[in-house]
Amino acid sequence: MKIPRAIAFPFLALPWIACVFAVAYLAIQRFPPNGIFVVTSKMDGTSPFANPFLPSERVTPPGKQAEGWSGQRVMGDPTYFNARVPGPYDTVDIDLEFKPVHQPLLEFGVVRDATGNDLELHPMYFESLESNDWRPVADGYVRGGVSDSRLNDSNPVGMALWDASGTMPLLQDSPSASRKTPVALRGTHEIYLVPSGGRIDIAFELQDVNRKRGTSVAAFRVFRGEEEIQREAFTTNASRETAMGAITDHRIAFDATPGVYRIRFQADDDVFIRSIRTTSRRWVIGPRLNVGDVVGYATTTATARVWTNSRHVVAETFHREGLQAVTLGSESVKVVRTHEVFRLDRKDSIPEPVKLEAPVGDIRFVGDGWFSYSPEAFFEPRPRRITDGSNLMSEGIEAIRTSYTRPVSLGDGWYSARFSYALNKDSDQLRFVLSAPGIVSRGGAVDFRKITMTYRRPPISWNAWFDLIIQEVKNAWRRVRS
Amino acid sequence: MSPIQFLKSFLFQTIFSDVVLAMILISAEIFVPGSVLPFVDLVDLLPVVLGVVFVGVMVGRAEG
Repeated sequence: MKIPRAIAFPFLALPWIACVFAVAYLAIQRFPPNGIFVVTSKMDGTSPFANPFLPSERVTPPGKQAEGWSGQRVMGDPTYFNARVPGPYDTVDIDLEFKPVHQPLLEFGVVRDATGNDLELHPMYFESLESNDWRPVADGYVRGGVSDSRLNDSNPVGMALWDASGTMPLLQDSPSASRKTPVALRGTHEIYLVPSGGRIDIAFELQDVNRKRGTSVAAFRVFRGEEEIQREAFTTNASRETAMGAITDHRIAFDATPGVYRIRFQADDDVFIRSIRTTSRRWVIGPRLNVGDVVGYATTTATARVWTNSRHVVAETFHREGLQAVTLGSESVKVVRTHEVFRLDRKDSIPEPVKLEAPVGDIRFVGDGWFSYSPEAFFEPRPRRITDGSNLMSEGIEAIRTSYTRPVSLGDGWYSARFSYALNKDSDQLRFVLSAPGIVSRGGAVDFRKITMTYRRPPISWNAWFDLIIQEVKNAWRRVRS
Repeated sequence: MSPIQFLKSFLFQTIFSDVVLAMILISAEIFVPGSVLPFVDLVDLLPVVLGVVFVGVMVGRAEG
């Protein structure tokens, strides 16, 4: 039996035709004609484009969970997952289907650099704003019965910020005599002042305690609102021996228009501010207050006694001498170990600042409000920040300026949130970060059952396809060289 | 063309085209990671490879 050539040749071409189809299929996946590539992960570890959450000690293995649902549970903070970018795209939209369990606040973001320093976090979920008492308006949310224009009010009292900036209040006080306040502030601090008599006049006594031998570099930066108006860097006068450096004066004085001025003192922990002398009637420090020890400077301990509107404060000491009972209003906590953070959370609804006291000093505080050395000097320079411990009712918050968009409820406690990010054309991989502050201490969790990533670029056209190929070749060359 | 000749030619074209395709795909995956492997399940390809081997053996036996 003979097979005619007219039949045999087309058959022999079949393997080549199949190869052409295979290459064409892969090319279409890489270069979708409509410019859209969709990745869906059921969080079961099988998606080649979206990996499960890591690190493994803070999450459950992806796939079938003990309760019967399929996905992955996050139980620590922070966590992240990596995604493989399927080519040079302009943007990516990420839809997350999640269920918070005893976790009131979540933030989600992308890491922009390889070292992880350039982290951009955005609001993802805030339990308190799910209530119908709050309604969305332009630039944020306001409580029921509060005018929409409350968000444009520059009065920071009763206002909160979450991933947003507020309007600077235009404050001005009458002239006042200069007043000196002894302090023992260690390292970098931010001081907010209201001009008095049309001037800012503040002087610092600085000392390099020289525990790290040699001089240190320090800087003062002055801001009006967010605008930097002065900057001065200098080296301290510490010696090469172990003796403390001499105390030096540094004065900042200038005519000032109404507003809130911020002085950022940048230095390492070797440099102490020993006193602050200012004509400003109102000045506060925050959100960090590091009250240093007085070893080698004074024989009596420097009690940390300040007033604060912080609802939540964390305290930490690095020396055994700093172990003590710290009180914040009616709350108290014993700092019983060094290098460990101890929390103070107010449950009262007192609107005025309350006293924060650490009898032996040598302690670092970080709060969600500001600190002043006298109740009269206290003011709120800007709205407070939303944290996982924020209680909107007891804190008297009636408006929140934020970029937050409520996630869509899917029922049964599940939500869907969407985020959009611009991409670099040469990105091969993306890292997304989930922040769930306080999740461990409250025994909370966040369940994920689906992640959809939609990569977008303009549809392929006669003009654009060549640029796309050139970009792919450039990226390939970079990968080969690296 | 006899059926054996046809099978031999078909087998040759299949293997040769697969080798060319494999070289293209391996190069693509090296230069553009993620352009091939996420879309090709190697386990699913196993029956195809085994089928080609089987046909090759059968053709060899028929000739021998």
